[in-house]
Amino acid sequence: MNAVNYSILALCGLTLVGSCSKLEQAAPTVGKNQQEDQTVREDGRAVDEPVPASPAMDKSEAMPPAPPAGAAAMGGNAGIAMDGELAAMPKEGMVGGKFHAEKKDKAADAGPEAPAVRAWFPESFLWQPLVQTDAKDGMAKVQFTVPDTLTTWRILALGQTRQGSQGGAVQTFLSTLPAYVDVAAPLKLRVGDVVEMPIQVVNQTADALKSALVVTVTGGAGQGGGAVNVAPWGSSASTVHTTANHAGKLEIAATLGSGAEAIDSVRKSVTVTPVGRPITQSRAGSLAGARTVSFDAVGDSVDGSVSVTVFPGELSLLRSEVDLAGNRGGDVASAAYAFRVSLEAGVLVADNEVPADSARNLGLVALQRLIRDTRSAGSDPAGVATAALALAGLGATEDPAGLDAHLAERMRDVVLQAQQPDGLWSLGSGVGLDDQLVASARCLWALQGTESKTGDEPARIKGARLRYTGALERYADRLTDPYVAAWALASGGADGLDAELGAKLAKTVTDALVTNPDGSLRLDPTLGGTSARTLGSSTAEATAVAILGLSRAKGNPGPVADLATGILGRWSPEAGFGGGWAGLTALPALASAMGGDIPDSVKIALFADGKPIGEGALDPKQKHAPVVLNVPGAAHELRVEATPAVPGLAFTAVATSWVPWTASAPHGLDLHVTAPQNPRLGVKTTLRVDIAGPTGETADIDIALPAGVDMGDAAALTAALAANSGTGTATTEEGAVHLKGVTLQNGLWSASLPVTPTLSGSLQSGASIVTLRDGETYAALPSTWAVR
Amino acid sequence: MATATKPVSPLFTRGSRTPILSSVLLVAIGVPCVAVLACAGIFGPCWSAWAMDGVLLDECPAGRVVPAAHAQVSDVGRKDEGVINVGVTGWYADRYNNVGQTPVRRFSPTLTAIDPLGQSHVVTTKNGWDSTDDFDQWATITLPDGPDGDWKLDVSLDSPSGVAKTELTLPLYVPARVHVLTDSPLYKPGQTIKFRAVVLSDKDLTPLEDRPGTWVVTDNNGQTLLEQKTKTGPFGVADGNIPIDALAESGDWTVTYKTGANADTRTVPVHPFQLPRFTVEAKADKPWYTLGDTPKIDTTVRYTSGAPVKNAPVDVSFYDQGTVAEDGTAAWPVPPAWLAPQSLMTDAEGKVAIKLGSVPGDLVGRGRLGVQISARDETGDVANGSASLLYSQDRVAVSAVTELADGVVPSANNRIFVRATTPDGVPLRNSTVKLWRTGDAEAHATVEKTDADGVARYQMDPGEPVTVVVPALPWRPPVLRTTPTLTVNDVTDLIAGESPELTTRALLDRWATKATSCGALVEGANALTVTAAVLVDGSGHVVKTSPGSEDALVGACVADALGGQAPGDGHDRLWKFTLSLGGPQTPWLTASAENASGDDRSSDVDTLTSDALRRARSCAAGLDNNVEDLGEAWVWFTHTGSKAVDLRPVQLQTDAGTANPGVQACVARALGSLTLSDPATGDGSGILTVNLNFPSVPGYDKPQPTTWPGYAFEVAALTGDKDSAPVGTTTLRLHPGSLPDLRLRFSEILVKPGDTLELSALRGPNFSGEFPDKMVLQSGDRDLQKFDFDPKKRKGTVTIPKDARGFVHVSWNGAMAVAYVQDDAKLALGMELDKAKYKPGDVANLTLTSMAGTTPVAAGVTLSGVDQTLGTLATLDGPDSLARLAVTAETATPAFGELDARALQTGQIAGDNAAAATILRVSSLPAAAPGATRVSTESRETIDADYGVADAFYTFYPAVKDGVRAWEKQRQDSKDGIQMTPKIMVSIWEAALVAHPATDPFGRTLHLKVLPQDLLAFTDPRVLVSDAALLPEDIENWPAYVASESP
Repeated sequence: MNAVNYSILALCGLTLVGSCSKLEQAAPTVGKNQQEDQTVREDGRAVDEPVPASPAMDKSEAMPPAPPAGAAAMGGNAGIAMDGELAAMPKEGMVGGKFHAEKKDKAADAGPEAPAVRAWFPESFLWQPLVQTDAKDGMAKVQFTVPDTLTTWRILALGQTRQGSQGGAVQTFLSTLPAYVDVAAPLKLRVGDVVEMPIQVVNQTADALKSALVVTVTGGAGQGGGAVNVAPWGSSASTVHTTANHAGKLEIAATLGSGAEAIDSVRKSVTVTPVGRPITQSRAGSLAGARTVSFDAVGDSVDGSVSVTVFPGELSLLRSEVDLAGNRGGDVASAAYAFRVSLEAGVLVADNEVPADSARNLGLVALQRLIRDTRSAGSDPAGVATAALALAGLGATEDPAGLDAHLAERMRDVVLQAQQPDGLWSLGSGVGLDDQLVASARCLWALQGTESKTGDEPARIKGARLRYTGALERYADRLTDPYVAAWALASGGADGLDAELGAKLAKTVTDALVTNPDGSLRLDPTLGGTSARTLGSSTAEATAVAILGLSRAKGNPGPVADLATGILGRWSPEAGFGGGWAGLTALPALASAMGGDIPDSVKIALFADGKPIGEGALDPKQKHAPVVLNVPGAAHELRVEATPAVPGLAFTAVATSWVPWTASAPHGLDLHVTAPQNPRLGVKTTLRVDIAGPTGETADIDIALPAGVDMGDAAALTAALAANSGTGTATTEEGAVHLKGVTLQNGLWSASLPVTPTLSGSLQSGASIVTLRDGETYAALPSTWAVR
Repeated sequence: MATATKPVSPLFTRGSRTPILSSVLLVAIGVPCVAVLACAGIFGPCWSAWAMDGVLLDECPAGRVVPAAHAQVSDVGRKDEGVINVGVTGWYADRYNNVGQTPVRRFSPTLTAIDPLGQSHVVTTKNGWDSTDDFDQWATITLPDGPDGDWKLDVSLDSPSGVAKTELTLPLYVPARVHVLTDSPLYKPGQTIKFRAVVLSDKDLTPLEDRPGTWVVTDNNGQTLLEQKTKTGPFGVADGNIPIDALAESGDWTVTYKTGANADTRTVPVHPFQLPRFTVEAKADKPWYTLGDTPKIDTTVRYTSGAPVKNAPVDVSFYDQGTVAEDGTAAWPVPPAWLAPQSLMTDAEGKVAIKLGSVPGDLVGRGRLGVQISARDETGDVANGSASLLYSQDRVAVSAVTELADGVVPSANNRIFVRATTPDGVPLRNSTVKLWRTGDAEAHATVEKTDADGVARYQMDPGEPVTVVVPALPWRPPVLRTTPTLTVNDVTDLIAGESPELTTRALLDRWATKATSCGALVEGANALTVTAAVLVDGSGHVVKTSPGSEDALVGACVADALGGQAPGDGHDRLWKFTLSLGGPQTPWLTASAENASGDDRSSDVDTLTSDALRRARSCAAGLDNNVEDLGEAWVWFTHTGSKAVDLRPVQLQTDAGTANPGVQACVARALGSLTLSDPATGDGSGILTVNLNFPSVPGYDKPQPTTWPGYAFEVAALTGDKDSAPVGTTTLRLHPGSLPDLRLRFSEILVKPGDTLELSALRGPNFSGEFPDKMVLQSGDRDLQKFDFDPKKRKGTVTIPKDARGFVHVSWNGAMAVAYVQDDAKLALGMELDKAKYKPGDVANLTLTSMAGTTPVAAGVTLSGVDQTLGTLATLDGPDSLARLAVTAETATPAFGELDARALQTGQIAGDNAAAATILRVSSLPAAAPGATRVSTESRETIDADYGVADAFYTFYPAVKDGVRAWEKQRQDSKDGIQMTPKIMVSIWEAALVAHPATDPFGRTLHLKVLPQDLLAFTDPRVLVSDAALLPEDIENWPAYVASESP
């Protein structure tokens, strides 16, 4: 694939009639706002925002959003990646972020006469918790903008008087067009899905409709259209061969007519999820001069991209993380990190650089995951490790009665009670001493992070620290591993050691630092064997801990700035600093190490394989806003330049490739999900599910269906289960069916479930999973349905 | 070194201040007193503690006495008198390091109330403070008026040992009703749930503003994800929101608003979903169908934009939804032809008509047929819809409510409310209904008019109960299975020691079906289990089978069937499994042989013929147990020295029927020539009877009418007066009931404030006792009005108070009369849009109006707008959603199946008879709502001595550690060979104490002896000394040393 031969000019002309300039400030593919499918109105306002009240109206009257503006921003900071295309996407409101193709065709300049692109398709469009009617006339007026869905909308009013009466009313209205074009897009696709995407033109007039239809696909491959003739009161359907070739958003835009003659234009957005296992490569450095990095191709990879991010200081990274941290992984470490980001983002909220709601929502969502994932954390080593991670994320809570405080208290108990009298936290028999010292240091570090904001160290944490200090004293002669030494220093356990021993530990760390190709420094975790994997140590974490440890050691903290640049090199939008303790340690490490002034005006230029492909600029109004530039494809030689060159400016380049899953062997539990033979569009067929496992066991099955497969009514499905096997209940949702409580009466369970494909093409299912009551699982590999 | 092996006079062993204080005390009370005490031999109590701390102790404490307060309030409220009890506990340590408590006997209380807005109010007592027996004090207090919420009562008790404080939290909330609404009934992960609560006073449903509350959101696992304190604003509204994790599991979340003791919870599903692009709307062309009608379902398929879905294939399936209600009897089974699926297509308007055959004449009662419709548009997209057909034998439907809920009382004056409707429930309003006992002439009918809800009231003597006959439902014999069945269970590969993997299992299952035909040998439709072991070699050939079954015939059949080739995978396998063989649901033949004379080989003949007949099951195929019988027998003969059995058919001379020639021939062929296993030892003969057997299959037996003792009435509904044309007739069946001892009855049920009601008491035959001369009208558990009641006439009149609302009642002696006071100023909300139809992006103007009757009124309104198509995935809130707040009564069994307290309160019942019948079914009227305006609670402060010591210890500990390090360095430098001993450790500790004074919560110096064992362990020389060479090899037990020496 030649990533730079495609023209952004063509893209603008074909897809974003009258609004090409929006592309320059379009929403990120990885930003938080992109998580919500079809939730951004064409006017740029997030649809979940309450319609603001107008001062000119009654107290509770609502003001419609501003008229659609061609240059309206959509928020976020990354780029739209499209097949064979490059987009440079700065943060909302940033200066710069231009494409190298700036011309637009006439359609793009059609102006207000062209129909607005319909792209806001909410299920719920109006929410006013309190509208007050006037006592004199009993009236109130409310304005709202009609969404882009052509449907019947329903407004419910429920009211009460101060005299004790209640009442309600319902009003419905139709939103429609005389003629329109619709894209029957699914909610989600998987990378590699090839769909004959249905495009339908409907004519609700007494006149025949003759018009041009232009369909473009961004974020994937596909293009279509042509002349359409639709009889009066008729409709016509065609399809566009569409390929979802990489993860992110796939947008299908269809325009009926052109320019000022355009009749309707619609844009549907589909979330494309990757298939397979992710593999990432990252590069980083400071922009003291032009930097060149290259990425190797990953064998068998089916998808990939490179993302380059330039950070003006550590808060700029934090700003990005407010958008990104909530989207990664589902483990405790990711949740703890996301919660920590929400806490640390307070300073950005105070500066109005991050909306308070963004930080609050990130914290709320992360807390949901933490609560869920720490439910069973007990006194075993794994439970204690989980509790320590959670504690590190929860930090010192503001509200002692808050849910986070309750959770922290529980986690604190788990960690404290697991400390042995000798000051260490046990990892079990046969575990290396270095591992145990590191694991213990993590526990202590997490505990100390939860000290109250008043600075008083609770006695029991003080006691834990003293005990750990005693252990360090006992093993002073053996503290030769720099990673262990760094953790010992960072944990605070070394604070009570004599100065000589403390200095020795610091020297152990500084002597072991390694210089990266870009001049930054790193500390490699040198633990070996299986225990290192148990600890989940990473270079990012080791480097961050080195900063924390050296900053805490008495005397010169050493080259922490170069270490900070080294950490940034480990950051990527998809994975952050990596899993485990990396993020939790990196945030405070960067906060303590990064500093220095960044000039107000800095331009960033990006070259891919020797050709200029985009540029951006730091925004002096938003001094913490990073610049993000995306390049499709994972194998590139990239050059990044900053003008002027700024030594304190760091960049990261992360390439992500996805490789196919491989099959696993049955182990007394087996699941076959057999796709229907020759499935046909719109024709009901059957999906065969077979399980083999222990006789008498009860199993739950989660079946991930290809896009567009309709399972019908859950009650009918449960009836089908009863007819097939006599056990189990079914619940359905878009793209999945869940069968609960099926009994393997003779070690087997089978059912034939009715399914109806509603999309034609080559569509992949996800992995389906059977879970026994004891937690044993088996995943069946995805299959591909060729629907005709 | 001091030891304390036995107690010494406390006068001389107390803490350092005590001798001085004692001296002061001695000076104060004079020598004579000391002499008296000395003479009496009493040196206690500790007078210094009494003087300085207000406590009475036998032995003076070590250190100071720490006061801690406690308080308890009973039934305190705003502007309401309540009682408070307060006290001070003195905490102290004795010389043995034990912590004790004792009452502080002198203190002065001060009370301060802090309202939820943070404003302080001094609380005074009504009559000052009184002491209790245990040295507490109590008083009567009244809290000032103020807002709802969590009040604080600060209790400050000034005692000689210091000021002790405690705080009581007083949740003072008036009882409330809460309504929670969300912006959508269904959410996707990643979306935000927005919610609002309305909080109304339980007393009069007025909004409670500035009312504190808490939002609680839980996920599908019940985990709390949000707890957010807030308070209501204008019109009692509070709102909030929570984003849902994009990775959230699918399941039901809950949103709860708690305020005081009241709460409301809304459950919302969270999972990925997509709204349909088009909808299928289906409706029967008539509300109901009766005999001879031809049902038709008009179906319209249209896009949400309003455009029709033309030429769309439509698949229709049907299912029997069962009966509506007919004395709890089973449903009329729909004709099988109605259940056949249909494939149709929409026309140019997106419409299609689904037709069924006419309603057959065997219809009994009422029933419903469910219809599921699936349509596909030109893009391949699918949408589903449903409809329901109602069919009824009669053209009217009636149901009854008897005043005595359990039925009609024999030979008594009964009041019966009868509701007449069309079969689909539309009331026959203001029409005439005739009622007469089944069997009587219609001329003897009682005739009444129905009210606005189709309810007529009858007073009647029903006479004695009779046998009520409920007609039988038509017989629809089930379709019988004519083939045997087989399932394979419990498969184990004994060589591999495990179950085969799924692929092998599937192959094995298919292979094993070869034995299915053996199921025909199983008698009846029962299942027979055969355990089989099959040895298969590496090429897949079955080497040997070993079926284990009590039935040798079946076992042999299975062995034969499983021979040959089995699924092969290249290695030897010994499969063990069970086969469950099910016989077909067809008749089968059995034989029974009897010996008549000579050699008795009847048993052998029996076995031979039975096996032969089992193989010849097809001989009985098609025979019907309702019409067929087998009057067939054989005479058998055996001959000396021969194995042959001769058979000769004969016709039985019984009522069994006539032999079926076809069956007879078939049986003759099956029996053929029977051969004994060994030659007969003599001539013999006997009778062989061949019997026809039928399997027991549910539903196969013809139903018959059922009976029960009770009353049956014929009911005829007329279009107008008693001479008008009939709408239809039907039968009403009622059970016998019994008379209660007492009934109370109001003259009116639906009333308004100011109305006057008459209350009547009706006695039953077993009533005894005197009536009071006063009765009380109540609402909930509040007394509204006391009124005169005439015990002789057993009547009284009461006027409904102006502020009464909702249900009011009079209760006496287990009987209750209920009336409902209507609200004549209900809120009517209106919404008007500036256009009927919009385009996307249009700005719509909505005008909202709120009226009470004809008068404009200010209202707080919540507006929620959703895509109406959401209604296909979840239930949308209706305009009467808030009405549930007004419901104050429960109706366990609604009158006529649908009229309940809610219908009464929302104005859906207009007729007097209907209202009276509904009131009869109200099962409970609530007492006051949970929550209270007066509260009782307590608070007790304690002193955590251990915690205080630990805190002091950790602060002090580094100084000791530094001291030990200094000592170590000194020893290492001097190389004098002196090693650490407990005594040296004590000296270092004491030196550190001098340099860094530290005390425990009781003010005692932090000597080693006051440390608890866990902290003492930190001070062990072996812990503190880093160079073990400075420790002696002979180790002295450190805790024991400290215990012994009390350093």
